[in-house]
Amino acid sequence: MEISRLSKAVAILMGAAIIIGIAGWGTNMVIKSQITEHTLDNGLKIVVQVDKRAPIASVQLWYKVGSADEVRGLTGISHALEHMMFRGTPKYPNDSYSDLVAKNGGRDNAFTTQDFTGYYANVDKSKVALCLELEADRMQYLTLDPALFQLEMKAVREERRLRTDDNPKSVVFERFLATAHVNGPYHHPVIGWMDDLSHFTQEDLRTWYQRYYVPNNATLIVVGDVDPKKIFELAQHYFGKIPKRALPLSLPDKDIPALGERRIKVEYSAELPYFIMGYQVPSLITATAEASWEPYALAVLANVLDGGESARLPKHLVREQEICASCATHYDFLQRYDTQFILRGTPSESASIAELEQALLSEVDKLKKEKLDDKELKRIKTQLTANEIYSKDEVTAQAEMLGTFESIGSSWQASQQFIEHIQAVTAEQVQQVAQKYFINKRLTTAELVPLKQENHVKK
Amino acid sequence: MLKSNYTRRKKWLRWAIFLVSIPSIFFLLQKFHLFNQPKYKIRANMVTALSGYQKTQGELFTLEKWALDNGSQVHFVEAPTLPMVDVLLTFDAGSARDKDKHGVSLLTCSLLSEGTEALNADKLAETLEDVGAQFSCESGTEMATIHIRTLTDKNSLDTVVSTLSELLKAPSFPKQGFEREQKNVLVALKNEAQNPSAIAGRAFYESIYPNQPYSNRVLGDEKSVLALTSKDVKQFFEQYYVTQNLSMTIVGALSSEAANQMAIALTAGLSRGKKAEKIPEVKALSQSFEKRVDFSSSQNHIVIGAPGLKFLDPDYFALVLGNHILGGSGSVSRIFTVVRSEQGLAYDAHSYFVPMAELGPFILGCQTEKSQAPKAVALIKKLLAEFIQTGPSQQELENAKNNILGSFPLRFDSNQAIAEYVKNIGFYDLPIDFYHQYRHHIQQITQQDIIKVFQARVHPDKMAVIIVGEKEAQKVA
Repeated sequence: MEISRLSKAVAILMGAAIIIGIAGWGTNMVIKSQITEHTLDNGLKIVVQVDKRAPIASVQLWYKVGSADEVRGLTGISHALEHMMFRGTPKYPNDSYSDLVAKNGGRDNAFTTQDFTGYYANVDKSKVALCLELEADRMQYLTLDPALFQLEMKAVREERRLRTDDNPKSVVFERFLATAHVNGPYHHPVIGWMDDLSHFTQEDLRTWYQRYYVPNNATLIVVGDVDPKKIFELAQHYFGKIPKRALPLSLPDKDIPALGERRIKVEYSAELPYFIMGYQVPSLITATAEASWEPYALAVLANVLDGGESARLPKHLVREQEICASCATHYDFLQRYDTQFILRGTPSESASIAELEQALLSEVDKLKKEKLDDKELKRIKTQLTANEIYSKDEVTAQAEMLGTFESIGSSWQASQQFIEHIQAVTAEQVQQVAQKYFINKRLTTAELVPLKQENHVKK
Repeated sequence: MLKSNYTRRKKWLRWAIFLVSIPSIFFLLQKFHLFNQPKYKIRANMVTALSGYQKTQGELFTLEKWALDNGSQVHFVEAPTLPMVDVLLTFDAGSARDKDKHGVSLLTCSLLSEGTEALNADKLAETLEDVGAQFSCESGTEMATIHIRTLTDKNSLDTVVSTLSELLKAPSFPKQGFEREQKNVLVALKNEAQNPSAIAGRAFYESIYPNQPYSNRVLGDEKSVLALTSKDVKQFFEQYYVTQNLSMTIVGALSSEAANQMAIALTAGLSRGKKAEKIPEVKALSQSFEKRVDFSSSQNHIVIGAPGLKFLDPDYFALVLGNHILGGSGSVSRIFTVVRSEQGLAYDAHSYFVPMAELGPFILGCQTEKSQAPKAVALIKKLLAEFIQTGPSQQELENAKNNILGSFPLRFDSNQAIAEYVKNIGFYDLPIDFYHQYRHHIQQITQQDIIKVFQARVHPDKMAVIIVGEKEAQKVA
């Protein structure tokens, strides 16, 4: 079910310009990144990070719109529009975007999440201007041809079948979210409900496009072997004349209050049982000013449970108790709205779902009752700090990190302080967030009950 | 939140590789300061005097290669910018070496994380993770690769190298860990059995590699896995995890001298052993056939293909370039354009070669709603037949060359990516300048070359067609 590109692994791939000093190393390592920003008069923000390790650049344009902005009947429309962005403008008709990028030795793709939609091309550093021209063109002049729209929606429905309908864990996850978020922004899936994928029209897409694809709702991220000043000039040249427009009022951003634990069973064709439990928790954006440390404490906590082979879930539940064949946590604090702290797993051959749930709950209880010992906390901080350095190995990942921070309503500057905030987390704070958030009222559970098919896997 | 991150084209779901990743391993510590030990000390520039030393320079990376006294090959790329190093120890010890003990290669790889007598799984993990190092063992059809990533400060390096050399010297493969992982493989088999793409992949490999080790499933099967013992694992380790059967890749912020010391230390406890025997030659299929697997799903998964390409293959570049145009270049390829962009039949439609030591598969396919499967199969077959007959247009060839040549630097944009490519050079014994000469070879290929090799090497009348999904909807004429 990890179809994610920006899941936990990336949540810890943070920006640069930090000074890392770990006791006992005897030396301080300084890794500086050169990051600069500029905002055009029309509100388009440009963030450039210079990385000269290879003669390339990742050019990414991010729009602050995703499935969290969608309403009933229109679920999946942000993602559908992302597909249609490759279906042409009058100047660059159907498929010419990808053809041109390919011909020029580039690689392109795009992604849609709950909070944002992003487009990227990785190219030789000499081809950045071409990418900007193409992005500026399709920000303004998308054709949205009705026949191509029908074809593309067929492909989108196939995408849903492939990713979700024929994948039992994805089905459970989708139902889990719809249960955990009653009327909140993360209630429905990014890909959309199947019925909606045959319901909305190219005119709905046009409205969506005109509403959200405006310079003051976008961020241009360029990371690579480039000169920031030159990038700002090119951006002014290609995007500068696009008018800014008023953005729609945002939708209500909170779920109605939970009135108790929610439990569902999903009966679906599968061979294996599966279990998800999640507690509603704040994200980086929804944490209050006084409690701005909480998301960092929760991030540390996720790593206490699942930050490596020495973490508690693999150690206790996989190796010692042999209850999980695999168990994991997930907390993505880089989200615009309140989110879920998830524990999930597949039981071992000898364990039941009930035992798995009990085992996960007892790990949660332990976090509430006992403070972390110093050695464990220190290990997690060391791991996160090392991961931060490893993350600099990839230009695309660095650009995605900057884009994510900007697009959820934080800032790239905050990405540069991630390690500082993590280093400041105390054992008491980890215990406090466990006590505050890991309570039944915030809990949703979903169990997959496998329905075996008679004709399954005949040779 | 599991960020439901949808992309326009899929990048995941590559069942063909059959990689199974085992989390992390680790352990022991004892701070014996390896790099200060006289026996590992050599004078500067001595690496160049080592057996078989070669070097190839280029704008993307500079590769050095040498052999250790114990027979293992070292390939090294110095990458000084970030204070980190990736080390890959690749043994010719994938499931192709399982013989009748299917699943033993995977269990051997995964049970390394159980540690040694002195340093159990918990301590191993703590020791390595205390310094922020990452460790994994991945086992595929051909390779078993131990991957270590660590920072390059002295404390981290010393800890990681001493710990791993202890592990490789005497992994304990304890009974309890063996029995647990054996049962977890049974769970993984059920996981595979609920994944139509994995089922199609398995059926495809079994069909095109009858009586050939490439058909061995990495996970094995229920019967074979239950029959395995920890003794089998120990024997497999002793036979295949040996220096004569090892190629190492090191990419990171080290000098070649330090890389050499590290390589010597890591492999000090391994026996010399013997190189694994050559994989038997792959035979072409004698006819085409269709195989259906009933499975309850909304789509049919279609896999068409046959044995296709080796790494050391005289037709390598013509086949790869031709396929780039046919179905290997994502949204601009012929198959994607017709099956998805023009017909909307699938989210993903592709063709690709998986080069191996012997003929790895040539694969074409897509996934489509069950009622559309006959149409999709017919379309892909037609596109292949047309391509074999007339090859690419001059314009297509030019575009494809521009794409491959222009995007070449993007392939080597990280230490991790460089390490994965260099690993191939080591494992398949490719010329040291294989990737440095790559663009030159691509540049030389003509339309006629592509037509010639596709006609000589790709035979639609000798291909397997695998369809996994619900049968009642399939009415292929």
